[in-house]
Amino acid sequence: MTDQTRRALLYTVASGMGAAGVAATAVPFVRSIQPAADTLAAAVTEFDVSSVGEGMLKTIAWRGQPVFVLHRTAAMLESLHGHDELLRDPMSRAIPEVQADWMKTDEQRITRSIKPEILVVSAVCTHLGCVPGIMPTPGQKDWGEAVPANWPGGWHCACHGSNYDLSGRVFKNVPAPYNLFLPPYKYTNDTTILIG
Amino acid sequence: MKKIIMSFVLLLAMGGASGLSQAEESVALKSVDISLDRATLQKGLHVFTDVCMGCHSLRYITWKDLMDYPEIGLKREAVDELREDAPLNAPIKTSLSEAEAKENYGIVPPDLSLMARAREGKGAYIYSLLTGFAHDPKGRVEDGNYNIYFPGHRIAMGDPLGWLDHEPEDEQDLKQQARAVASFLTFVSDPHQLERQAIGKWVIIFLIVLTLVLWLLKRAVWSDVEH
Amino acid sequence: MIKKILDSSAAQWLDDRTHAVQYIRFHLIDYPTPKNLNYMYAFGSIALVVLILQVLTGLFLAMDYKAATLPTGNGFSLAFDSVERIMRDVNSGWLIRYMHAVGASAFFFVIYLHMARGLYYGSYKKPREFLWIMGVMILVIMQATVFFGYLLPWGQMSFWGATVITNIFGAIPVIGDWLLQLVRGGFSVGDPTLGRFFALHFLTPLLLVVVVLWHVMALHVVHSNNPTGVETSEKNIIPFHPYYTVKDLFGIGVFLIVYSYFVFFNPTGNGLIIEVNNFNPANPMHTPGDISPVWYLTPWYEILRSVPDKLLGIIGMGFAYVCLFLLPWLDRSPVRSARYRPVYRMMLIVFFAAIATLGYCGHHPVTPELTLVGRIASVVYFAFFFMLPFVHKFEKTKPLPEDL
Repeated sequence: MTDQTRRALLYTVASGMGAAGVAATAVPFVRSIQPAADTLAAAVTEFDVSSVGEGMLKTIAWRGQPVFVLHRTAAMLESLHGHDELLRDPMSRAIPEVQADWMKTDEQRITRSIKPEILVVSAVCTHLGCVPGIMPTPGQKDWGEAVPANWPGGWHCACHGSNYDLSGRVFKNVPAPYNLFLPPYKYTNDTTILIG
Repeated sequence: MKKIIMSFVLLLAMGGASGLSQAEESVALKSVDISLDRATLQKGLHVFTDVCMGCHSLRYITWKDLMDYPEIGLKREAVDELREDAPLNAPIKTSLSEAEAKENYGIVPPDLSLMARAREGKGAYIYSLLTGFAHDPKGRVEDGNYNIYFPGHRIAMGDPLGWLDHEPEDEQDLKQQARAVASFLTFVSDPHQLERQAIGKWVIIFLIVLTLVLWLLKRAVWSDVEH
Repeated sequence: MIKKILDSSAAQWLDDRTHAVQYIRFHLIDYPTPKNLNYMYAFGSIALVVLILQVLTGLFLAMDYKAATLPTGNGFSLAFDSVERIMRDVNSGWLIRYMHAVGASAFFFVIYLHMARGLYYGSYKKPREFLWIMGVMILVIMQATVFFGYLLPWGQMSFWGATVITNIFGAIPVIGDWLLQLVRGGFSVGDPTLGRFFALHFLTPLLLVVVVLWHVMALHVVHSNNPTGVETSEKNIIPFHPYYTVKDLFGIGVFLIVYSYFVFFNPTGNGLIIEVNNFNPANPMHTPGDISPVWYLTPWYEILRSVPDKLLGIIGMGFAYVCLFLLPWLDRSPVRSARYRPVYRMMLIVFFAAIATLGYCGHHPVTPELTLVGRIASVVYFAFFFMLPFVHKFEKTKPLPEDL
């Protein structure tokens, strides 16, 4: 091997190893700005759904973001039917975030809850992250022009005017692309849910 | 330049030697074999929950950490049994309140999360302290509060393992308990230490190879310069 | 490959608009260097690497650190807790924290050797006076930076170290008390102190970077000295790249091995890098038995301690820095390198020994013997500077080489 090729080879090996070393050093720095162990450990929320009275809504925090727990009345559950043509994704099939493992029947795809009356749904508008306000009664008499004339009751996002029904299903002709997301949750006993 | 470096080394060696003679004046700690294997750590954890936790907390260690640190590697069921009603994410806390502690002992017992790093001697200090209870030769400090290794010898903590006047046949067992809990506290004081050393080995091997390559490169580049 | 990049049309485009490529060529590639520089000359480049590591690790630590003394129970505070959170919960947080802590010690170790080399080969002499002054400025700013930084973990040594050092301001006549409260933001070291020290721990590195750039700019005007101290002819000059880039890289490699050993296997340096007592949360009601600054500050601390008068001790310590600044004008010998100056060389050895002794004494609790040793070493320290203006009158220098 001539001196020239030997030198060139050493240059290549040294710069290759040097680059690998710098890249490896960057790994812990990038890792350090990902969620820490205590942040991840705090990402589980327990909640007693019996504390929400019939027809009432509670907003609870999960991972620092709001989640709606709505105890729907029989009339509210009834209101979920008959306006499919107004909805963008009535059967919640668009993306994984709007579905859940326990969604087996068509009825569950409409109520979007494990127990039909207790809806647990992310309170973050799928458009740009505002929290929609609830407007549970049908029609425009309580809400005015903010909602369409054939309003079945639901949520209205004041930021950019997106509308959702009382299952968190998004309306057509609004900026929000998807139904409200379903957080992963399960019942640990008859009245306690564990989110996360 | 070489001479300068040599005289420096000599000087530092002298300094080091005089430093050693100073350290000998204080009570030498017992030596103990701190080991961070799973069996010792789990035994130490149980000594902690059975004995130490009566008064002391581990504010920087949660119940969940006992499963999450692979070095301890407890199963979920074992953790549930230990924590009882405490939330999984809560730090390991004593049930002794600060007010009760002050009333009974005069002080609030220190947190033990960092104890193994916060005293000279580290794990050996904890081991020595636990097996250092004795009768005060001057008879001033009551039994159970006299400790050979505690600065000033009067300690508020009363002989947790029952070392004073123990039966000879219990000696081995008590020493094992002290060693296990000293090892456990050494681990929790710096819970990434084993991971750190494992990574460090490879980092240094890599750097040695890289430096060798750089040395060869330096020689090759400088071969055309007379010097 | 570097040549290819610098010759590319993109580089040309940039150079037409900013001269950036010309600067790189001038400072990192073509910079003319004597060919006989030994490995002691690598510490400048190594120091630059440490500075970059400190800035990077510091930035990432600041993302998770919380500068507040808010009590969190059993004597702990939010600041102390946030450091332990970095050590335990933040991914690789322990690595970044240890890199930063070990880096502080490494920085001083490297800078002290860098300065010792400058002293030995007379690199502070004309025309390099400004270069030397900027170097001493770097040392002073570094010491300010570690002083601010050491308070942040809010451990026992943080608290008592800051209490003792800020009290220095209180010793100044007339305005002392006012100044002391100004520095602390209260009657004692507390939450306001921590907040401002955290902010200043960001400011001083910024100053450091500026002064380092100035130091390098000055170097590249007056050029490197060399072990012989004599001016070099054209034929003994070689370009910085590739000769000294590879030589310095090798030096950096050796340094990184030592650095990594400490980071991964002995991050507290047996109490020299992170003191044992600093794992106890700050307790303003109780001073630990043995408080001393970290090793790189102890020589100056010992000079302060050697003088049995508060104000004079502080003046003495200040004077120790003034002497360093004045060095280029105190030494009047026409010969630079200690290789050819037997008397200066002896004096230097004694001077270095005095600093090491001061450092040793300052690190240990006061005893009558150590106080005496510390006083002798302080006298030797100043004697070095007082003798310098007269040495050339009787020193028989060895014959200088014509060229390297």
